[in-house]
Amino acid sequence: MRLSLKELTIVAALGALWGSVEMTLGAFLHVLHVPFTGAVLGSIGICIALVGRVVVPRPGSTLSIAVVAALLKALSIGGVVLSPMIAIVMEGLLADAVLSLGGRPRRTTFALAGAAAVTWNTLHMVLIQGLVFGAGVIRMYMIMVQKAAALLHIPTASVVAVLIVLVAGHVVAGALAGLVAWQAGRSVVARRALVEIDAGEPS
Amino acid sequence: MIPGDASQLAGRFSAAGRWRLPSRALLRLRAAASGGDVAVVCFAFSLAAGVLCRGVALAAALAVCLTLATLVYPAGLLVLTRRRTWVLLVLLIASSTVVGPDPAWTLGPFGISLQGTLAGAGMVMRALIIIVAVMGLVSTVPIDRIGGVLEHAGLHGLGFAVGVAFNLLPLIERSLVTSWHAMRLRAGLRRPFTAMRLLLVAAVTSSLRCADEVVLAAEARAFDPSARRASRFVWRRRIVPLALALAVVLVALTGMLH
Repeated sequence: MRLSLKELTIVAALGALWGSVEMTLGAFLHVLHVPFTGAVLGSIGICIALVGRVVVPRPGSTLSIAVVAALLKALSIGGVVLSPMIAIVMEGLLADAVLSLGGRPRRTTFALAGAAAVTWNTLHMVLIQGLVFGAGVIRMYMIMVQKAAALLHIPTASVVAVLIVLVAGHVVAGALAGLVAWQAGRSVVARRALVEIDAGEPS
Repeated sequence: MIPGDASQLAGRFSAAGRWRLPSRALLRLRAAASGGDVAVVCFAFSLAAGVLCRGVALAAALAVCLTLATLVYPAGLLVLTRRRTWVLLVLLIASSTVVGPDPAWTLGPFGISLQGTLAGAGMVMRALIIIVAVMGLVSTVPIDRIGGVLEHAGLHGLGFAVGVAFNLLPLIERSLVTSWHAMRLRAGLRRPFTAMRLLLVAAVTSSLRCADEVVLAAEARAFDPSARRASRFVWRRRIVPLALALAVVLVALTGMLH
Protein backbone atom coordinates (compact mmCIF):
# COMPACT_ATOMS: atom_id res chain seq x y z
CA MET A 1 0.00 0.00 0.00
CA ARG A 2 1.54 3.32 -1.09
CA LEU A 3 -0.31 6.48 -0.12
CA SER A 4 0.21 9.82 -1.85
CA LEU A 5 1.59 12.84 -0.01
CA LYS A 6 -1.92 14.23 0.48
CA GLU A 7 -3.29 10.91 1.77
CA LEU A 8 -0.31 10.43 4.10
CA THR A 9 -0.82 13.90 5.56
CA ILE A 10 -4.52 13.21 6.14
CA VAL A 11 -3.55 9.94 7.86
CA ALA A 12 -1.08 11.90 10.00
CA ALA A 13 -3.65 14.59 10.93
CA LEU A 14 -6.34 12.08 11.89
CA GLY A 15 -3.77 9.93 13.74
CA ALA A 16 -2.77 13.07 15.66
CA LEU A 17 -6.45 13.74 16.44
CA TRP A 18 -6.94 10.21 17.82
CA GLY A 19 -3.61 10.46 19.67
CA SER A 20 -4.56 13.79 21.28
CA VAL A 21 -7.93 12.35 22.39
CA GLU A 22 -6.07 9.39 23.94
CA MET A 23 -3.54 11.64 25.65
CA THR A 24 -5.99 14.22 27.04
CA LEU A 25 -9.39 12.55 27.55
CA GLY A 26 -7.75 9.14 28.06
CA ALA A 27 -5.45 10.37 30.83
CA PHE A 28 -8.39 12.22 32.44
CA LEU A 29 -10.68 9.15 32.43
CA HIS A 30 -7.91 6.85 33.69
CA VAL A 31 -7.13 9.22 36.58
CA LEU A 32 -10.83 9.33 37.54
CA HIS A 33 -11.03 5.50 37.24
CA VAL A 34 -14.16 5.81 35.08
CA PRO A 35 -15.47 2.31 34.22
CA PHE A 36 -15.36 1.16 30.58
CA THR A 37 -12.71 3.77 29.69
CA GLY A 38 -11.44 1.43 26.97
CA ALA A 39 -14.86 1.24 25.33
CA VAL A 40 -15.35 5.04 25.44
CA LEU A 41 -11.89 5.84 24.07
CA GLY A 42 -12.05 2.97 21.57
CA SER A 43 -15.40 4.20 20.22
CA ILE A 44 -14.15 7.78 19.80
CA GLY A 45 -10.86 6.64 18.30
CA ILE A 46 -12.32 4.16 15.85
CA CYS A 47 -14.90 6.78 14.84
CA ILE A 48 -12.05 9.12 13.85
CA ALA A 49 -10.21 6.31 12.03
CA LEU A 50 -13.36 5.30 10.12
CA VAL A 51 -13.98 8.92 9.09
CA GLY A 52 -10.40 8.73 7.80
CA ARG A 53 -11.37 5.66 5.75
CA VAL A 54 -14.19 7.66 4.09
CA VAL A 55 -11.79 10.52 3.28
CA VAL A 56 -8.92 8.20 2.19
CA PRO A 57 -10.76 5.17 0.74
CA ARG A 58 -7.69 2.92 0.51
CA PRO A 59 -7.05 -0.42 2.26
CA GLY A 60 -4.64 0.11 5.15
CA SER A 61 -5.56 3.76 5.80
CA THR A 62 -7.47 2.89 9.02
CA LEU A 63 -4.56 0.78 10.26
CA SER A 64 -2.09 3.56 9.45
CA ILE A 65 -4.16 6.10 11.42
CA ALA A 66 -4.21 3.67 14.36
CA VAL A 67 -0.45 3.08 14.18
CA VAL A 68 0.23 6.85 14.17
CA ALA A 69 -2.11 7.30 17.16
CA ALA A 70 -0.42 4.40 19.01
CA LEU A 71 3.05 5.85 18.42
CA LEU A 72 1.85 9.24 19.69
CA LYS A 73 0.37 7.49 22.74
CA ALA A 74 3.97 6.63 23.65
CA LEU A 75 4.39 10.35 24.44
CA SER A 76 1.74 10.19 27.21
CA ILE A 77 2.44 11.76 30.58
CA GLY A 78 2.71 8.35 32.25
CA GLY A 79 5.55 7.27 29.94
CA VAL A 80 5.42 4.35 27.51
CA VAL A 81 2.04 2.65 27.92
CA LEU A 82 2.36 -0.53 25.94
CA SER A 83 -0.99 -2.19 26.58
CA PRO A 84 -3.14 0.72 25.25
CA MET A 85 -0.74 1.03 22.29
CA ILE A 86 -1.34 -2.62 21.39
CA ALA A 87 -5.10 -2.13 21.87
CA ILE A 88 -5.14 0.88 19.49
CA VAL A 89 -3.23 -1.00 16.78
CA MET A 90 -5.45 -4.07 17.15
CA GLU A 91 -8.60 -1.92 16.88
CA GLY A 92 -7.27 -0.34 13.68
CA LEU A 93 -6.23 -3.73 12.30
CA LEU A 94 -9.64 -5.32 12.96
CA ALA A 95 -11.55 -2.36 11.49
CA ASP A 96 -9.29 -2.33 8.43
CA ALA A 97 -9.67 -6.09 7.93
CA VAL A 98 -13.49 -5.89 8.10
CA LEU A 99 -13.60 -2.93 5.69
CA SER A 100 -11.16 -4.56 3.26
CA LEU A 101 -13.08 -7.85 3.28
CA GLY A 102 -16.43 -6.06 3.09
CA GLY A 103 -15.82 -4.76 -0.43
CA ARG A 104 -17.55 -1.51 -1.45
CA PRO A 105 -17.83 0.91 1.52
CA ARG A 106 -21.35 0.76 2.98
CA ARG A 107 -23.12 1.79 6.17
CA THR A 108 -23.30 -1.88 7.27
CA THR A 109 -19.60 -2.59 6.81
CA PHE A 110 -18.72 0.55 8.77
CA ALA A 111 -21.02 -0.54 11.62
CA LEU A 112 -19.45 -4.02 11.56
CA ALA A 113 -15.93 -2.58 11.49
CA GLY A 114 -16.69 -0.34 14.47
CA ALA A 115 -18.27 -3.24 16.38
CA ALA A 116 -15.29 -5.55 15.71
CA ALA A 117 -12.80 -2.90 16.78
CA VAL A 118 -14.51 -1.86 20.03
CA THR A 119 -15.30 -5.49 21.00
CA TRP A 120 -11.54 -6.12 21.02
CA ASN A 121 -11.43 -4.15 24.32
CA THR A 122 -13.33 -6.93 26.12
CA LEU A 123 -10.80 -9.55 25.01
CA HIS A 124 -7.72 -7.33 25.21
CA MET A 125 -7.00 -7.62 28.94
CA VAL A 126 -7.46 -11.40 29.02
CA LEU A 127 -5.33 -11.98 25.91
CA ILE A 128 -2.54 -9.65 27.00
CA GLN A 129 -2.43 -11.23 30.45
CA GLY A 130 -2.46 -14.65 28.78
CA LEU A 131 0.56 -13.62 26.70
CA VAL A 132 2.49 -12.19 29.65
CA PHE A 133 1.59 -14.63 32.43
CA GLY A 134 0.93 -17.74 30.30
CA ALA A 135 -2.18 -19.86 29.78
CA GLY A 136 -2.30 -20.61 33.53
CA VAL A 137 -3.77 -17.20 34.27
CA ILE A 138 -6.80 -17.88 32.04
CA ARG A 139 -7.46 -21.17 33.88
CA MET A 140 -7.07 -19.30 37.16
CA TYR A 141 -9.68 -16.72 36.10
CA MET A 142 -12.12 -19.50 35.16
CA ILE A 143 -11.71 -21.17 38.56
CA MET A 144 -12.06 -17.78 40.30
CA VAL A 145 -15.33 -17.08 38.45
CA GLN A 146 -16.68 -20.50 39.50
CA LYS A 147 -15.57 -20.04 43.14
CA ALA A 148 -16.96 -16.47 43.30
CA ALA A 149 -20.30 -17.69 41.90
CA ALA A 150 -20.39 -20.46 44.52
CA LEU A 151 -19.45 -18.02 47.32
CA LEU A 152 -22.19 -15.53 46.32
CA HIS A 153 -24.70 -18.38 45.78
CA ILE A 154 -25.40 -17.40 42.17
CA PRO A 155 -25.34 -19.88 39.28
CA THR A 156 -22.28 -19.81 37.02
CA ALA A 157 -24.64 -19.25 34.09
CA SER A 158 -25.51 -15.81 35.53
CA VAL A 159 -21.83 -14.83 35.45
CA VAL A 160 -21.66 -15.94 31.83
CA ALA A 161 -24.82 -13.90 31.11
CA VAL A 162 -23.16 -10.80 32.62
CA LEU A 163 -20.13 -11.37 30.38
CA ILE A 164 -22.39 -11.73 27.33
CA VAL A 165 -24.18 -8.47 28.21
CA LEU A 166 -20.76 -6.79 28.56
CA VAL A 167 -19.67 -7.96 25.11
CA ALA A 168 -23.05 -6.99 23.60
CA GLY A 169 -22.68 -3.48 25.08
CA HIS A 170 -19.30 -3.13 23.39
CA VAL A 171 -20.71 -4.39 20.08
CA VAL A 172 -23.53 -1.82 20.20
CA ALA A 173 -21.14 1.03 21.14
CA GLY A 174 -18.81 0.07 18.29
CA ALA A 175 -21.61 -0.24 15.74
CA LEU A 176 -22.91 3.21 16.77
CA ALA A 177 -19.39 4.62 16.39
CA GLY A 178 -19.23 3.10 12.90
CA LEU A 179 -22.60 4.59 11.90
CA VAL A 180 -21.65 8.04 13.24
CA ALA A 181 -18.34 7.81 11.37
CA TRP A 182 -20.12 6.91 8.11
CA GLN A 183 -22.46 9.91 8.43
CA ALA A 184 -19.77 12.33 9.65
CA GLY A 185 -17.29 11.14 7.02
CA ARG A 186 -19.73 11.75 4.19
CA SER A 187 -20.54 15.25 5.44
CA VAL A 188 -16.81 16.01 5.78
CA VAL A 189 -16.16 14.82 2.20
CA ALA A 190 -19.12 16.90 0.94
CA ARG A 191 -17.84 20.01 2.75
CA ARG A 192 -14.34 19.52 1.38
CA ALA A 193 -15.72 19.13 -2.15
CA LEU A 194 -17.67 22.40 -1.74
CA VAL A 195 -14.57 24.19 -0.45
CA GLU A 196 -12.50 22.86 -3.38
CA ILE A 197 -15.18 23.95 -5.90
CA ASP A 198 -15.23 27.42 -4.31
CA ALA A 199 -11.46 27.58 -4.59
CA GLY A 200 -11.74 26.53 -8.26
CA GLU A 201 -9.90 23.21 -7.88
CA PRO A 202 -12.48 20.39 -8.02
CA SER A 203 -11.05 17.00 -6.99
CA MET B 1 23.41 7.66 23.62
CA ILE B 2 22.15 6.57 27.01
CA PRO B 3 18.40 7.14 27.44
CA GLY B 4 17.42 9.62 30.17
CA ASP B 5 15.62 7.01 32.23
CA ALA B 6 18.70 4.79 32.25
CA SER B 7 20.99 7.52 33.51
CA GLN B 8 18.39 8.43 36.15
CA LEU B 9 18.37 4.83 37.34
CA ALA B 10 22.17 4.66 37.37
CA GLY B 11 22.23 7.93 39.31
CA ARG B 12 19.73 6.59 41.84
CA PHE B 13 21.79 3.48 42.51
CA SER B 14 25.10 5.33 42.61
CA ALA B 15 23.64 7.79 45.13
CA ALA B 16 22.86 4.86 47.39
CA GLY B 17 26.43 3.64 47.02
CA ARG B 18 25.35 0.29 45.57
CA TRP B 19 26.30 0.94 41.96
CA ARG B 20 29.74 1.71 40.60
CA LEU B 21 30.10 4.16 37.74
CA PRO B 22 29.70 2.23 34.45
CA SER B 23 32.95 1.35 32.74
CA ARG B 24 33.75 2.49 29.23
CA ALA B 25 32.90 -0.97 27.81
CA LEU B 26 29.48 -0.84 29.49
CA LEU B 27 28.82 2.63 28.11
CA ARG B 28 29.81 1.38 24.65
CA LEU B 29 27.42 -1.60 25.00
CA ARG B 30 24.54 0.70 25.98
CA ALA B 31 25.35 3.05 23.10
CA ALA B 32 25.14 0.04 20.76
CA ALA B 33 21.85 -0.98 22.36
CA SER B 34 20.34 2.41 21.54
CA GLY B 35 21.05 1.62 17.86
CA GLY B 36 18.53 -1.19 18.15
CA ASP B 37 20.27 -4.43 17.20
CA VAL B 38 21.74 -5.41 20.60
CA ALA B 39 18.47 -4.53 22.31
CA VAL B 40 16.46 -6.55 19.78
CA VAL B 41 18.69 -9.65 20.22
CA CYS B 42 18.42 -9.43 24.03
CA PHE B 43 14.66 -8.87 23.77
CA ALA B 44 14.24 -11.92 21.51
CA PHE B 45 16.28 -14.05 23.94
CA SER B 46 14.22 -12.87 26.94
CA LEU B 47 10.96 -13.54 25.14
CA ALA B 48 12.04 -17.06 24.10
CA ALA B 49 13.38 -17.82 27.59
CA GLY B 50 10.16 -16.59 29.22
CA VAL B 51 8.00 -18.74 26.98
CA LEU B 52 10.13 -21.93 26.82
CA CYS B 53 11.54 -22.31 30.35
CA ARG B 54 9.73 -23.89 33.31
CA GLY B 55 10.46 -24.39 37.01
CA VAL B 56 14.10 -23.99 38.08
CA ALA B 57 15.11 -23.15 34.51
CA LEU B 58 12.68 -20.23 34.61
CA ALA B 59 14.32 -18.89 37.77
CA ALA B 60 17.74 -19.16 36.08
CA ALA B 61 16.32 -17.47 32.95
CA LEU B 62 14.99 -14.63 35.12
CA ALA B 63 18.46 -14.12 36.62
CA VAL B 64 20.07 -14.07 33.14
CA CYS B 65 17.42 -11.70 31.72
CA LEU B 66 17.69 -9.26 34.64
CA THR B 67 21.49 -9.24 34.24
CA LEU B 68 21.09 -8.56 30.51
CA ALA B 69 18.62 -5.77 31.24
CA THR B 70 21.04 -4.18 33.73
CA LEU B 71 23.81 -4.25 31.11
CA VAL B 72 21.87 -3.36 27.95
CA TYR B 73 18.64 -1.53 28.79
CA PRO B 74 18.56 -0.52 32.48
CA ALA B 75 15.54 1.72 31.77
CA GLY B 76 13.51 -1.50 31.55
CA LEU B 77 14.22 -2.11 35.27
CA LEU B 78 12.38 1.10 36.16
CA VAL B 79 9.14 -0.90 35.90
CA LEU B 80 10.29 -2.79 39.04
CA THR B 81 10.33 0.46 41.03
CA ARG B 82 6.58 0.96 40.46
CA ARG B 83 4.36 -0.07 43.36
CA ARG B 84 1.57 -1.07 40.93
CA THR B 85 3.77 -3.77 39.36
CA TRP B 86 4.45 -5.43 42.73
CA VAL B 87 0.81 -5.17 43.85
CA LEU B 88 -0.22 -6.94 40.65
CA LEU B 89 2.40 -9.68 41.06
CA VAL B 90 1.61 -10.27 44.75
CA LEU B 91 -2.12 -10.45 43.90
CA LEU B 92 -1.32 -12.98 41.19
CA ILE B 93 0.58 -15.28 43.58
CA ALA B 94 -2.12 -14.86 46.27
CA SER B 95 -5.00 -15.72 43.94
CA SER B 96 -3.09 -18.63 42.43
CA THR B 97 -2.44 -19.95 45.97
CA VAL B 98 -6.13 -19.70 46.82
CA VAL B 99 -7.51 -21.30 43.65
CA GLY B 100 -4.78 -23.96 43.26
CA PRO B 101 -5.53 -27.71 43.45
CA ASP B 102 -5.15 -29.97 46.57
CA PRO B 103 -5.12 -27.32 49.32
CA ALA B 104 -2.68 -28.28 52.11
CA TRP B 105 -4.23 -25.95 54.72
CA THR B 106 -7.44 -23.97 55.02
CA LEU B 107 -7.73 -20.32 56.02
CA GLY B 108 -11.40 -19.48 56.58
CA PRO B 109 -13.28 -20.14 53.34
CA PHE B 110 -10.01 -20.36 51.37
CA GLY B 111 -7.68 -23.30 50.79
CA ILE B 112 -3.92 -22.75 50.66
CA SER B 113 -2.37 -24.78 47.85
CA LEU B 114 1.41 -25.23 47.63
CA GLN B 115 1.07 -26.32 44.01
CA GLY B 116 -0.91 -23.13 43.29
CA THR B 117 1.79 -21.00 44.95
CA LEU B 118 4.48 -22.60 42.77
CA ALA B 119 2.35 -22.07 39.64
CA GLY B 120 1.83 -18.42 40.69
CA ALA B 121 5.57 -17.96 41.25
CA GLY B 122 6.18 -19.34 37.74
CA MET B 123 3.69 -16.88 36.26
CA VAL B 124 5.31 -14.00 38.16
CA MET B 125 8.82 -14.93 36.96
CA ARG B 126 7.61 -15.23 33.35
CA ALA B 127 5.81 -11.87 33.67
CA LEU B 128 8.92 -10.19 35.11
CA ILE B 129 11.08 -11.47 32.23
CA ILE B 130 8.61 -10.27 29.58
CA ILE B 131 7.71 -6.91 31.20
CA VAL B 132 11.36 -5.90 31.77
CA ALA B 133 12.34 -6.96 28.22
CA VAL B 134 9.43 -5.14 26.56
CA MET B 135 9.85 -1.95 28.61
CA GLY B 136 13.61 -2.06 28.02
CA LEU B 137 13.24 -2.45 24.27
CA VAL B 138 10.60 0.27 23.96
CA SER B 139 12.56 2.76 26.08
CA THR B 140 15.88 2.04 24.35
CA VAL B 141 14.87 2.00 20.69
CA PRO B 142 13.65 5.45 19.52
CA ILE B 143 10.14 5.88 18.06
CA ASP B 144 11.47 6.85 14.61
CA ARG B 145 13.28 3.48 14.37
CA ILE B 146 10.10 1.62 15.35
CA GLY B 147 8.34 3.69 12.65
CA GLY B 148 11.11 2.69 10.25
CA VAL B 149 10.58 -1.00 11.01
CA LEU B 150 6.83 -0.65 10.37
CA GLU B 151 7.62 1.20 7.14
CA HIS B 152 9.76 -1.73 5.99
CA ALA B 153 6.94 -4.08 6.97
CA GLY B 154 4.73 -2.47 4.30
CA LEU B 155 3.29 0.68 5.91
CA HIS B 156 5.08 3.07 3.51
CA GLY B 157 5.47 6.71 4.50
CA LEU B 158 4.69 6.00 8.14
CA GLY B 159 7.88 7.72 9.36
CA PHE B 160 6.78 10.90 7.55
CA ALA B 161 3.23 10.55 8.91
CA VAL B 162 4.46 10.19 12.52
CA GLY B 163 6.67 13.28 12.12
CA VAL B 164 3.77 15.34 10.71
CA ALA B 165 1.38 14.05 13.41
CA PHE B 166 3.85 14.97 16.16
CA ASN B 167 4.09 18.53 14.83
CA LEU B 168 0.32 18.85 14.34
CA LEU B 169 -0.53 17.76 17.91
CA PRO B 170 -0.59 21.25 19.54
CA LEU B 171 -2.58 22.76 16.63
CA ILE B 172 -5.17 19.99 16.73
CA GLU B 173 -5.51 20.12 20.52
CA ARG B 174 -6.07 23.90 20.34
CA SER B 175 -8.71 23.55 17.61
CA LEU B 176 -10.46 20.77 19.62
CA VAL B 177 -10.67 23.02 22.68
CA THR B 178 -11.90 25.95 20.56
CA SER B 179 -14.64 23.83 18.95
CA TRP B 180 -15.71 22.52 22.38
CA HIS B 181 -15.96 26.04 23.86
CA ALA B 182 -17.80 27.37 20.78
CA MET B 183 -20.35 24.57 21.04
CA ARG B 184 -20.79 25.06 24.80
CA LEU B 185 -21.29 28.84 24.48
CA ARG B 186 -23.90 28.36 21.75
CA ALA B 187 -25.79 25.88 23.98
CA GLY B 188 -24.97 23.05 21.60
CA LEU B 189 -24.56 20.54 24.44
CA ARG B 190 -28.31 20.40 25.19
CA ARG B 191 -28.60 17.53 22.72
CA PRO B 192 -25.49 15.49 23.61
CA PHE B 193 -25.62 12.96 20.76
CA THR B 194 -25.97 15.64 18.05
CA ALA B 195 -23.36 17.75 19.84
CA MET B 196 -20.84 14.88 19.80
CA ARG B 197 -21.43 14.27 16.08
CA LEU B 198 -21.03 17.97 15.28
CA LEU B 199 -17.91 18.16 17.47
CA LEU B 200 -16.47 15.17 15.60
CA VAL B 201 -17.16 16.81 12.21
CA ALA B 202 -15.64 20.11 13.41
CA ALA B 203 -12.55 18.36 14.82
CA VAL B 204 -12.00 16.25 11.70
CA THR B 205 -12.54 19.25 9.38
CA SER B 206 -10.06 21.42 11.26
CA SER B 207 -7.54 18.53 11.30
CA LEU B 208 -7.94 18.14 7.54
CA ARG B 209 -7.46 21.91 7.11
CA CYS B 210 -4.15 21.60 9.02
CA ALA B 211 -3.25 18.65 6.77
CA ASP B 212 -4.01 20.74 3.63
CA GLU B 213 -1.63 23.45 4.83
CA VAL B 214 1.12 20.86 5.37
CA VAL B 215 0.50 19.40 1.88
CA LEU B 216 0.71 22.86 0.30
CA ALA B 217 3.98 23.61 2.10
CA ALA B 218 5.43 20.19 1.22
CA GLU B 219 4.42 20.42 -2.46
CA ALA B 220 5.86 23.95 -2.70
CA ARG B 221 9.21 22.45 -1.63
CA ALA B 222 8.83 19.49 -4.06
CA PHE B 223 8.89 17.10 -1.12
CA ASP B 224 8.41 13.41 -1.92
CA PRO B 225 7.88 11.11 1.09
CA SER B 226 8.64 7.98 -0.93
CA ALA B 227 12.11 9.34 -1.78
CA ARG B 228 13.05 9.44 1.90
CA ARG B 229 14.84 6.44 3.32
CA ALA B 230 13.34 5.20 6.52
CA SER B 231 15.61 4.90 9.51
CA ARG B 232 16.26 1.20 10.03
CA PHE B 233 18.16 -1.17 12.21
CA VAL B 234 21.74 -1.71 11.16
CA TRP B 235 22.60 -5.35 11.72
CA ARG B 236 26.31 -5.48 12.47
CA ARG B 237 28.59 -8.51 12.35
CA ARG B 238 29.68 -7.99 15.96
CA ILE B 239 26.13 -8.88 17.01
CA VAL B 240 26.63 -12.48 15.82
CA PRO B 241 28.79 -13.66 18.83
CA LEU B 242 26.24 -12.18 21.26
CA ALA B 243 23.34 -13.86 19.43
CA LEU B 244 25.19 -17.21 19.36
CA ALA B 245 26.11 -16.98 23.05
CA LEU B 246 22.51 -16.21 24.00
CA ALA B 247 21.27 -19.09 21.80
CA VAL B 248 23.64 -21.48 23.65
CA VAL B 249 22.39 -20.17 27.02
CA LEU B 250 18.80 -20.66 25.84
CA VAL B 251 19.47 -24.24 24.75
CA ALA B 252 21.18 -24.93 28.10
CA LEU B 253 18.25 -23.44 30.01
CA THR B 254 15.61 -25.37 28.07
CA GLY B 255 17.80 -28.51 28.39
CA MET B 256 17.44 -28.20 32.17
CA LEU B 257 13.82 -29.28 31.66
CA HIS B 258 14.87 -32.78 30.62
